[in-house]
Amino acid sequence: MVDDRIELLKGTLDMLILKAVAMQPMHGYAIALRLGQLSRDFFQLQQGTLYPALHRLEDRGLLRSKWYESETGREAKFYALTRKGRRHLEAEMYNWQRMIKAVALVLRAAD
Amino acid sequence: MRWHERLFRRKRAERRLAAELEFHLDRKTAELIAAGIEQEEARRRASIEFGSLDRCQEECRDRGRGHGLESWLQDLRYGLRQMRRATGFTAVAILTLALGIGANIAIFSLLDTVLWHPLPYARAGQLFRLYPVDKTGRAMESTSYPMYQSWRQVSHTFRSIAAYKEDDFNLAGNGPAISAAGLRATANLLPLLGVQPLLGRNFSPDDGSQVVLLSYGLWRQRFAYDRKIVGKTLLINGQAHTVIGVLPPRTYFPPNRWGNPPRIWLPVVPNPSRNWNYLRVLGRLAPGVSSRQAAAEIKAIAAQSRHMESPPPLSGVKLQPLEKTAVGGRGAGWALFGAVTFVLLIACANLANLLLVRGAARERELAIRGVLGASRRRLARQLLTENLLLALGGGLLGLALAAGMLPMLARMAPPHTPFFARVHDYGVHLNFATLIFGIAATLVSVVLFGLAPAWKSAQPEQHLRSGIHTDPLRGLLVAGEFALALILLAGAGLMLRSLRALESVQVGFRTDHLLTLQINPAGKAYGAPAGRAEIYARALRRLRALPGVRQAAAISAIPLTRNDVNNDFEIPGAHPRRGDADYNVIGSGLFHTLGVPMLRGREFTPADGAIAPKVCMINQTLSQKYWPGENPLGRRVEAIRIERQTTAQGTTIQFRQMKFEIVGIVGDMRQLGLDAPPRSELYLPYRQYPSRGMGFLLRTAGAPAGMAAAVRNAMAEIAPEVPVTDIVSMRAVMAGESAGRDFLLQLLGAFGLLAAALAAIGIYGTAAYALGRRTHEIGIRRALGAERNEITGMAMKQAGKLILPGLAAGLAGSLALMRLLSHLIHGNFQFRLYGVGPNDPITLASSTVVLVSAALLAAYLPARRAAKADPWTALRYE
Repeated sequence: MVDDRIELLKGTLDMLILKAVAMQPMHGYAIALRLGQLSRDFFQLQQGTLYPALHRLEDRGLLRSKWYESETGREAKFYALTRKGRRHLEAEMYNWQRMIKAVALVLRAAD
Repeated sequence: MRWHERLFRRKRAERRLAAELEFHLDRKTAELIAAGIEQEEARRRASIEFGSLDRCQEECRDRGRGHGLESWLQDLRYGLRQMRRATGFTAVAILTLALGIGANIAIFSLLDTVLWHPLPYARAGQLFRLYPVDKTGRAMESTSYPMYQSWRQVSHTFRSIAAYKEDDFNLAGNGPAISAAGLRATANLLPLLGVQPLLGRNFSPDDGSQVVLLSYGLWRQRFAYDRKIVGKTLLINGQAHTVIGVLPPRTYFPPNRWGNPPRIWLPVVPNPSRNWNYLRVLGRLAPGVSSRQAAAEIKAIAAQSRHMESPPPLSGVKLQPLEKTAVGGRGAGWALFGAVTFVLLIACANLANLLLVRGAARERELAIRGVLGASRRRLARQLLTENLLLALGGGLLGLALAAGMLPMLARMAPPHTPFFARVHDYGVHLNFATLIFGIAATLVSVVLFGLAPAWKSAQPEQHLRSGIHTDPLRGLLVAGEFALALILLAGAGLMLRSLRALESVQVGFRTDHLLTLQINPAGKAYGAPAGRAEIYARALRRLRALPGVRQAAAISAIPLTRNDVNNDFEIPGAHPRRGDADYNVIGSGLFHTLGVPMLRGREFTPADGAIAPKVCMINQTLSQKYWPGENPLGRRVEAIRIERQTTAQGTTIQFRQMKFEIVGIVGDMRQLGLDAPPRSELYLPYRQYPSRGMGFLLRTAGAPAGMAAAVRNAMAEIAPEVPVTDIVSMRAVMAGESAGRDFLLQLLGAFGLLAAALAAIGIYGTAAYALGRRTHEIGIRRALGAERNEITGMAMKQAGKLILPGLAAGLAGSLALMRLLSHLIHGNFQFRLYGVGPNDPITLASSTVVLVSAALLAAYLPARRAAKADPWTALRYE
């Protein structure tokens, strides 16, 4: 089960992170929580996976970050989508939808 | 941005990253506490779930940021940590590299001193020897004084041309008389070399011939640093000479062929004859002139002078850099250089192998880092950094090893060979060129062994997929190492066999219980031939009377050490023929004393005196060359003998027609050395032709060396003014002759063994690694009932598969290389193979046996360990 998730993540992790951040700027811990909630605990992100991905996206200019006071009053690093990140997310989502449809068509035909 | 600013930013970013991850951890812990878990336990669980904080930090850092210095420093820290963690690996790797690099630097320094920069003069590359070339195209060592003068006066391409003549001088007064190697030199020789006297002055053109310069060594030994020596008078060859100066220490001049540097310097005595070729000529090129231009000019000068007087008919002049003439044995040097290069190559292959083994052990670590996002480039760079660290360590240790080895090499070098004389006298130093070589060797090593593992490690997917995979690269490395080691061992083995063959050479006479000595009489009493004949006769009588001496005989050139003059002769008759031979002057009973067979006729007797009919003896080689199938007894031979008479007035030269009848033919003996085949020899009785010096051979009852003191006393008794030199046993002479060879052989042998040891380490590493990967499989086999020796057998079979290709390549390689070498160094005195072919089966077989046994032992040790291991432990592994 774990392996399946990793396989899935390898292709889609970036898109999921961008999607989570698209609604509002949030810190790493909140992103992990949000993805867990939204997927009904299917995605339990390992931090060793999440943070490298966040830094990578930031380097690519898809995310920007800033230190704000968090809900607990402690400073945390909040990530937000850049314009480039939004365009990237849209393109990725479009591709993803097309792929889902294509896969569904194939699977239905096989029945 | 400057680097410290970047470092500062880097530091801040580090803190930020740590804070970010810390925040996450704290929130997770808080969440768990809220769910009702104890604080401690919550923190622990959060940490577990979070994974290693370090690793996460590292992966984040790896995200394409931080190029340049900081990340390099980080690689460096990581590399050092890795080295500390794997102490055994690091030690073996650095030691292997240090041995290879150290040996290279040491030998490179040695060769630089001996071969490439043998002359410690400023701009030594400008110095050239000039050889006249005769009509037949043969370059001659010496030329006449008039010819030298014409070159010197007309030449523009040479800044200065000097001439000199090597000689031995008799020095008397201020202690017992000694015979010392010396030089007659033109006044411009020392300035040309760039040597300034330490005391007094150099020769000047108006000095005449009665002045002398002393070497520093002679000044120290005989005159105890007497600073008032200048102006004093010394007896040299029986004549008064005024000391005009002392040369500085370490004044270097190429030693004569017996390895003796000049200690007495006298002016050249000009001889107006154009036939009297006695001067060696040395020139320093003017700045910016090529040797080719100079050769053309000198040749033109020689051609012009042809019209001036009848001879000499020169066809040209040959120029050779003095650096090249100063040493023989260049082939030996290159062989040595090749040997150390092999050792370095083997060391590098070994290291590459070790790194591959280690890379395999770290496969998982690297693969995980790769999956977590570290780029291939980053991983490859990390590995290269680690290799650089290893190379640096190995290079530094190698440099230290070389520095320690050099004084040892200088001490070990046999002093009396021209090849090593300078090393022994002046030592070897790590010089600038050597340092550059060391750095180059280190860098080449890094590239050689660094690329393969880095390239392999940068393909992590492969490592994750397959647990066990065979590796052709490693097999290739081991085979190559094995082949190189075999070639080196076989080469050293060939030299050893050659030396043994040389030791058993039939020299033509009995060498046991034989003591040799040399006397060099000079002074008024010995200026005339009769006086010299008289002292030789007296010495022989006295030596024969010594208790413990069975026989004694005289010969002007002690066999195996030198030959005397080579001269022409004519065989008169209806069709006169010309020939040439070495002329030796001997006493009666020589061949009986030496045990050389008389083939025909008789030996000389005391009756062959000054007024008796002139006689000679010849050896077998001469007889067969000029009278094949005939009996030469009673034939006559004619020769022109140039006789020099030294009297109080100076030196006079006379040409004397000589005719002698052949009265005896003797067997051949080796005159020049062990590996020089017999030449045509002609023997004259000393009573008829007393030579200027004489050697004596004593057949002793006991150990010959024990007689030295008695011989010295006896000679002092009869002629205290005559110096006695070189009292040594014939066996010691023979050992000295092979000393240079022995030394080279020891070095080559040491490198051969080093190579074998390194190759064994390589095989050990590979075998241990291969078996380590099969621990699980071996456990299963053992559990299913395989015996220990079956496991060992299986492991050995695998080792055999590694060794066999290397063995085949090594045998083929050594056959090819030895054949090539024997062509290249053919005729090289120091290094010629003697009495053994380049594909000698015994040598190849024995080096193969040595290497294969070492390899099998290296493979057996891990095999035995694997077989002994408890199967259950082995099964639990992994």
